[in-house]
Amino acid sequence: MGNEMKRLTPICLTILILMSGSALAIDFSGTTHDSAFSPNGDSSQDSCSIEIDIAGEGEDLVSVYAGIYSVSDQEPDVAFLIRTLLDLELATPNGSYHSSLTWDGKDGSDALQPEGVYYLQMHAATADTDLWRQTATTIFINNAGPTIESQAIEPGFNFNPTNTDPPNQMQIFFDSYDFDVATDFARAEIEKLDSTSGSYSAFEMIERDVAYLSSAGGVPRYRFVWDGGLLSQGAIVDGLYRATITIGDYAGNPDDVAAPLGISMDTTPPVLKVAELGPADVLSPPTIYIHPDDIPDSIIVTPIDQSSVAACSLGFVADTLFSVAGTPCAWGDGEEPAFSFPLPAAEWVAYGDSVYQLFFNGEDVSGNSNRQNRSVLRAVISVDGTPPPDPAWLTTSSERVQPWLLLEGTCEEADATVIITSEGEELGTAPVNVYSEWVFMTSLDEGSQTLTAQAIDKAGNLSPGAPSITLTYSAGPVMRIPGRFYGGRDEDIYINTSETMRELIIRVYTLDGVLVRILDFNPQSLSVPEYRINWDLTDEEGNRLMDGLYIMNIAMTDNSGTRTFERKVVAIVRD
Amino acid sequence: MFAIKRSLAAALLLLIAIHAGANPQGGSFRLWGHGARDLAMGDASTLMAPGLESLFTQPASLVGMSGFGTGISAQKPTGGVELALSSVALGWGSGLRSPLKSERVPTSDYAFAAAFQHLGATLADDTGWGEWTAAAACAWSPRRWLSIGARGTMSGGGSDDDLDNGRATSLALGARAVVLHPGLEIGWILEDYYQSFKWDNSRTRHRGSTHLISCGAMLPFAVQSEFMLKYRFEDVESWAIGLEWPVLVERLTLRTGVIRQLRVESVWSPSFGFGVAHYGLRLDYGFRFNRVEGPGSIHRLSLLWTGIGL
Repeated sequence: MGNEMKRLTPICLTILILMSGSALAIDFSGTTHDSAFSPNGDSSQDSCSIEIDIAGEGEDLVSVYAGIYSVSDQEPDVAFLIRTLLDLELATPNGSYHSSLTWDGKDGSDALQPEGVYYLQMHAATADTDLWRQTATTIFINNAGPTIESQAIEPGFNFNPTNTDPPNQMQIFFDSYDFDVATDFARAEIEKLDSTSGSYSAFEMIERDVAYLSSAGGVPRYRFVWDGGLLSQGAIVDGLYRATITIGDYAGNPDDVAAPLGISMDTTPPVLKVAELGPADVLSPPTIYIHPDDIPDSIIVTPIDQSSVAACSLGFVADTLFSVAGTPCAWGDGEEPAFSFPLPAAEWVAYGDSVYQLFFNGEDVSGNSNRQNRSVLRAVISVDGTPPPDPAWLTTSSERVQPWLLLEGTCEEADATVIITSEGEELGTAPVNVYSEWVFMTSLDEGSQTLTAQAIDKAGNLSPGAPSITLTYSAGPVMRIPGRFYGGRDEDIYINTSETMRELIIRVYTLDGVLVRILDFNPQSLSVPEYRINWDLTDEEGNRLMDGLYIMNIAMTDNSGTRTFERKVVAIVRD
Repeated sequence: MFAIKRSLAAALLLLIAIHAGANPQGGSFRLWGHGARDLAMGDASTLMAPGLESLFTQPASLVGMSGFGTGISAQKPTGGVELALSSVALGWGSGLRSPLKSERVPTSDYAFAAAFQHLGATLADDTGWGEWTAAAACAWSPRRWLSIGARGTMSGGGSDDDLDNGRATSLALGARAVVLHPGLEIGWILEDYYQSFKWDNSRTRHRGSTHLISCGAMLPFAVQSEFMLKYRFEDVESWAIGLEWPVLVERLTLRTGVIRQLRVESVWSPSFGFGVAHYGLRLDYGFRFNRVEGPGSIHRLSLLWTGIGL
């Protein structure tokens, strides 16, 4: 059964084709032409080009005809004939006919036809068939393109596609009396401003909303809809854009390009910064420390935003103390937007030393707010009128043989800063870490000097006292070897030489001459004439040596190969 | 033959004992060398019954002392080492045996000795340090071929500012045997010292021990030689050879020796010295050379006077 079906199928198809050929004996569908033209003599599309392509569909053509009519009837009355373009009896019948024609917009008397709609009518005949083209095609004579009367955008210059109210789409309108949706086109090009180069670059091309037609003061209004590039770009990018509407026709008339419309797309809330607080400027601090005497009357906040900031407000946590709206004020050179918030200092003083939290919320004209975006500026103000305790020294008064020294100490108030001074001159500051410790690297001058340490907290309170130590530094060449080793801190062996050494080795002997340990200074440290090493009171195998006397031989080899030796007696006295 | 067997058995026991009581080395608060003869012979001078000076080296050899003896010594290192050692010793031996024809060294039945030693130093920070050690020893020779001895010491002292003071005790046991007449001896010394310090109100304790094995022999021309091996803290620390040649009997003696230190770096330390004697009085000088990278060379001078035996 299946094989029989395969054999029958080609026969059936042949019958169907023959039947179809007899019904559609002449095919006009290959003919093409300009849909519109403007015979106004501006040398731009002044005539309509027509490509005739008629096929006999198996039968030879004996005559072909083409003419311009003012009606679209299938068999037009000759009274509506404007111009005959082709009327030909074929001397040699042929299966098809091809020809290129041109209509210059004139009738048979060479008179230029007015603007309007015209129809190309075609007729052909075979030996058995005499047929008009089933549907006439239209040709527009249009001597002037459409113009834009006015344009508008909604919701306005500031556009926030993430907003749901107003709608998150930008509408770009243009009003035109002569815009013909059939023969004219309209497009809007979106360009984005490159803030680096200052020039615009193409971003997106959007088409007219064909379903929209309205009226603005009696003028037909058309529109484009832009989603901010979310669909085409996959993401919304804040920035400055511009939309340029272009409308035109296909008849060769000039396009009408409207002036670009600026758009500020802003989906980001303002970045708030505390610009001024009391006696000193503070830039976005996590915590602001203020002495009670320095509580300011107001706080200045400067918002940074692509759009202008419409409002700014301040509230303490849970509105415990107060909530206040900021007022725009002058700040800096006057070009920077700023808001001022009055502070009721008296209420703060009533609370005494404490930590307060302030929350600033800004909202720009695009509708972006810090509160909505959960990015309110949180400023912590610590009112502190209590001086920190005196710092303590871990470094002890001593004689030094090397100038570089790491000063160490403690201070019970973490986050305070210790000011190190020498003979009244400030050497620098050292922050107190969370372990209440501070360190400070300094270089000593030759001779004795008294160093003091005084703590200052972030509110500017100074510790009442300034404990001091006295350090004496003697420049090399000199050795500072402890006479007694206790196995504890500060037992480093210091050696200052007059020049850098190629090799510096300490050999440790027992009193009966047995070598028990070699202390080889790190070669890297030999680049400077100041050496330090620590002996852990063990022998070469790491075994603890017995208490008592030992002899050290310090062998130094300078860069010229000259060797010098020093011998010292030391005692191990373990605690 | 019987003596040889027993000597070999004793030597075996000594070798086993070598591995016991090993401890870290170093420290002070103990008895140091006294005689210039010891220094000149590289400390390889413990055998051949040297007499009173063996109080500081091998107590078993005290039996070489006959009658009364006393001596003093002083030592000074070179090379800027601020260290001074001085000592005085007193001893008495009794029961002198007349040497056999084949015996080269006469011995007593027993002997006693005591000594006092002081060690002073200037430490690297220019502070002073002083230690003293008192020692007492006795020796007994039950047979001509065998003697044993014991020595106890007590040390004290510390820093001159009295901030760091300590005390220590030690006990040394020695044995000496004549293996093969007339001139071959072996010796063994075990010194065990115990430190107990009270440093700045805290107390520390340490224990250390040393084994010395020696072999001495009489060579032609009356040259006395000794080979000594020192074992401490699980390893051989050094070995030494000492030679003594009486150029003029009872008048002038020349000595030399060498020590080979084996810890960390292998180092040779040669030494030499001489002794002049007149009747019961003997003056000895010794010098030990140490390399420039070492702890400094050492001069030592000692004076010994021996009296008539009781």
